Amino acid sequence: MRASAPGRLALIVRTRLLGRVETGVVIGTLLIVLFFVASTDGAWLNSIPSVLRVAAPIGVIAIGQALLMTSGEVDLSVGSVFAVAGVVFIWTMDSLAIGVVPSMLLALATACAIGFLNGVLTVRFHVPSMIVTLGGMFVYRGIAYISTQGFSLSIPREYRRDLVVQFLKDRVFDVSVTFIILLILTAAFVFVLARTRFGSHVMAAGGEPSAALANGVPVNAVKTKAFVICSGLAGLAGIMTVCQEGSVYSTSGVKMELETIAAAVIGGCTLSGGIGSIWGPILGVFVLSSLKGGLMMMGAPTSWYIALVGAILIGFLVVSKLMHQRMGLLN
Amino acid sequence: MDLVVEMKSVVKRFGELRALDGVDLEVYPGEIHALLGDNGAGKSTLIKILSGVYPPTSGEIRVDGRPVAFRSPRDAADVGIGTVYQDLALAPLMPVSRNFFMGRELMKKPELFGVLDDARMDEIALEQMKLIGIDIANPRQPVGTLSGGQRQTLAIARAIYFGAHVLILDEPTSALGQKQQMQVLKTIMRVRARGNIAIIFITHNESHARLVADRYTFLSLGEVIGRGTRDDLVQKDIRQLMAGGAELEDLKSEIEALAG
Repeated sequence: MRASAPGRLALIVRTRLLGRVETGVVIGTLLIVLFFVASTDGAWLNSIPSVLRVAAPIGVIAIGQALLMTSGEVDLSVGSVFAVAGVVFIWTMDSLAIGVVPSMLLALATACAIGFLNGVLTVRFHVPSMIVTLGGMFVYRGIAYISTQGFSLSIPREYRRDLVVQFLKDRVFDVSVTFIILLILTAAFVFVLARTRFGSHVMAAGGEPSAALANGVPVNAVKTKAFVICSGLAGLAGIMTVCQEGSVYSTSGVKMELETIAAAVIGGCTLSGGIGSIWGPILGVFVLSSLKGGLMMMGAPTSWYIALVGAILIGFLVVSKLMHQRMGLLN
Repeated sequence: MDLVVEMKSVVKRFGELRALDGVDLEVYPGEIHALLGDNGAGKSTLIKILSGVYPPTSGEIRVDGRPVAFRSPRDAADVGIGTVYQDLALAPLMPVSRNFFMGRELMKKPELFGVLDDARMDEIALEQMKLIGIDIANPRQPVGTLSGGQRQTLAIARAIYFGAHVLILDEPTSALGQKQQMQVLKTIMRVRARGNIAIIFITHNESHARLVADRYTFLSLGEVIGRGTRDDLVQKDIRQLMAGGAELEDLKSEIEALAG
């Protein structure tokens, strides 16, 4: 039976506009922009470039977290991997003296290896990824503490003027290069999730693992790949930040797992998987980062930030659940 | 007529339990074969053996005249046995066409990049579902928005498209409302009309079997207690066979006593 014309229109509105998992975060973004513009008489707009610069590394990790959550898993170790990648990057430049780019690649490989380990432990031994990566979070944070001796490591003097390091620190028309990298990665992963076989398998593996398996989707391999991508992107974010700031601290990346998971959930992902978005979580990161900056501009104590993140997260979940119930898309 | 599926003296033991005790099953090409029986009769065990989930303890299975020994569901699929289980193996949040091609996606060339050919998948999924009677408007709508009958059709169309010429339907009507049940029976008849696909229709609803089946096999406690053609099925009082005759009458009078 073909639906009548008004029926079809209603269906399109329902599934294409209102029923999208990103609808909530789009509305949220508009509201927060309006609020800050109105309450600062437009002065807030000048802070956008710095918001974007701060948001870039978190956004890069949020892409990975969103992909992984869509596959039905989660990575709590991203903040620690972020720090460890920075440590490995600086340490190899310092001790092995193999140059900037090989050091970056080694740091990236380390991050990917950690992701592979997370994936294998999760899928082979049937340990919930929440537990595996919680353990990993402590282990890699410990490594970061030990190697920075509780303080920090800095890029060796002779590498600070290196072209690649300078490039990642640079701006193009007042937009930081790291933010441009974020945009490129976002576009790439939106495509991967929506249009490729891997993306379809990620959705299937997260949504209905037994059905996926019964139809021949290699669920374990798909999830492991998602772990590697997530951890690799956390490593990339760590490297980007080291180039920008010149140093890695023992506390670099603390709470990033919470920020990225919050952004992913706000942007339309769920802890149970099977449903997800890449650009929604990036908007989620923007919402959270502008909140951080906006609160500071308004003179509110920054300790309010994390409390507000929690409140917004819960609010978003309740609203989107209600909305989806009314759309009849989820039970 | 040559048999498509022939099972001879199939026995399945789970430890002490004899789930199947020397069962024969003969399925003819292009026919609907109803496998009837109450809960615990051994219907599920029988079809799990036939679809390669586990091997029989003893007995012989032939498909298209050739003896087979399946070690996995994949082996059964390779000789053209497609099973549609009750859970249907669908992902409700994903679009119809992505579900149709789940695990066997079509890709644009060069396939190396893994870019999906959604347009072709949409087209084929709609066309295949139409062939057995469901015309849905939008191949991108999530499976969760389909009715129970439409989902059943999707799973059946998928099994046929990927090469099943023996289609095992595990209680396809049991979780549905009256109207949806009839829709599924209609779908089953449309599959039959294609002529080249044999259907093993598992049910404990004898009126459904009566509506569509060409032949039936009746199981109780792991043994065949009745078999025959459509005509036999109409004449015999199947309901009696179903729950062991006298026992059912006893239950009825007990209920009446409680009501009075």
